[in-house]
Amino acid sequence: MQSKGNASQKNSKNSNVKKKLIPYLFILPFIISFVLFFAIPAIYSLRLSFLNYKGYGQAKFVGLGNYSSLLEYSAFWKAVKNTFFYFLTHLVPVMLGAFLIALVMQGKAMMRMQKVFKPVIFLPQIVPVMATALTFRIIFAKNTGAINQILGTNAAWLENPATMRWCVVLMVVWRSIGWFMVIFLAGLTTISKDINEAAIIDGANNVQIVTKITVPLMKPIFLFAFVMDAIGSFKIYTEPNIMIAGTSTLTTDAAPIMNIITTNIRGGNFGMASAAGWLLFLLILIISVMEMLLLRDKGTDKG
Amino acid sequence: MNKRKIIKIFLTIVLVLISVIALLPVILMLFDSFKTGSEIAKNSWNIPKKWTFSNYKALMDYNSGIMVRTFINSLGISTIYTAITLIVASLAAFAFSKYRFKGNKVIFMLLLITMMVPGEITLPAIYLMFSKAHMLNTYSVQIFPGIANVFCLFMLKQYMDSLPNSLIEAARIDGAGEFYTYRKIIVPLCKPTIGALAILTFLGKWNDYLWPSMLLTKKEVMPIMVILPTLNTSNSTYSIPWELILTGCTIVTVPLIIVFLIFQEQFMASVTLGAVKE
Repeated sequence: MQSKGNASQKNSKNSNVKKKLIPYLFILPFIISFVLFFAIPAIYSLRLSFLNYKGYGQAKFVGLGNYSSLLEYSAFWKAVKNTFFYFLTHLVPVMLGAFLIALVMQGKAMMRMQKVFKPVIFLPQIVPVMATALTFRIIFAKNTGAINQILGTNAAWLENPATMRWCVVLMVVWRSIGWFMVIFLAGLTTISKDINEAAIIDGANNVQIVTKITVPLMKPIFLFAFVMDAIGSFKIYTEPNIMIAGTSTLTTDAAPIMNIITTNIRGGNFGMASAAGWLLFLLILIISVMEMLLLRDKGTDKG
Repeated sequence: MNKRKIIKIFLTIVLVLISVIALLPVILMLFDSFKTGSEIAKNSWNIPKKWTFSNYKALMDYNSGIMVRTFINSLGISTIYTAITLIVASLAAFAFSKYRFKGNKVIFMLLLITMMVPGEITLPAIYLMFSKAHMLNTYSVQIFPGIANVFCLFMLKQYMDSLPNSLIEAARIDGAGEFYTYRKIIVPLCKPTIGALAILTFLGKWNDYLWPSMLLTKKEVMPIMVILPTLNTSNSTYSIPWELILTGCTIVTVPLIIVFLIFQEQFMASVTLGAVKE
């Protein structure tokens, strides 16, 4: 360029402003949709949780009233208990099962078979939750259900309060093992083979290698898996509702916390529904933080 | 036989058993969709005595074709939702990763923190907002809530951070516009991550039952997952037509399984997003 006059200087100033605007233009669609469809609804639901509001007419400020009536409401505590039941009972079989399967598949003996078994065991995860819940509803159906056909019984698995929640847990375990197996397999492949070989030379046996080397090295993966699982489990909804109740109302003997939210929305108690939502968030937060504290890397504790 | 071989055989048997358990309910669903209601009641587990397509035909005709309609709804909603989510997130990720601007870090941190808050919290508020705008029972109410996905943003930014800045500088020297750089250089390089996120996002939407069951009452706009548990007919052997429901389950499952078999690696890689540092 030969003529670097005033005009081009102005131009470059203009293009400077333009340049500064560009990143904002790129984030604008995200920020707008975030504000409109997450931030505003979240703040609104926080406000709702302090109101008595039917969706029309005057909203009445009730302070912590919604929260305190939830905490005094026996159905809420039943729902908390059920949610913890689903969470605690599935945790050990899913995590231990998935980890053991991953260990076996990563072992020298099974390496080559991985290609066949891995997708098959992962497959339940691909079946939509709705299809799984309905199929299991039929499998556990009373009188002529598939399980009763095998056992030659006519038990009412899904109607009996003693067994219905266990049926849901069975389904959850069936569905989630493959998911965590894949996560653990990915974690196992990051552990260097040299470490294991060094341990074998030092005379460590297989059990020692797993408990002293593999498990400690996998801690970050376990943490990820446990927190992801907790976040999902406490929001459990479709599984118990469809499997036990179909389209009718789920009994409080099996209803999770999400049901407190949905029944209150259906009943027009938007304040109560919002308060239950925030209590659920608090619960998830507490459990996740507890898991992080339990599983965090304690550095050089055990060398 | 040496000890090694015995262990190998034992472990193979264990894995075969687990695989059978993983497959059985899916196979039962598939087989029973070709049986009559009365055969299911007697014989759920066996191969159908006489393969019949009558369930599939009955499902097509059910309630003047509502199943076909809602299947297309599900497909359309999930596809559009996934596309918008990823476009919006990748545009923002590009800016957060490759530009320095005022508020860059603060805004990103604030967004990350909100990942702790489950979206379900907004359900009562979303219901009221859309109800007041007379937009319940629309496709919009199914597409827009949750469209700003911080997880996708975070994953894409992380991946873009690993791409060398020299690529972008080279493009700039060549006179490429900023959007052109995003579209023709960054997006193609992010394909593996975009693919994995697309699978997760699509499956999440395809599976969703809670939100549409709360926000919709008009059957014509519903996704198929909400219709599926409500199937009933007067001329079925039992009060609930298991054969129809299992056929519906097969219809929403088989396309996914076929796609899964083709893209196995990508599906399983999507699970480990965020779990393992590559």
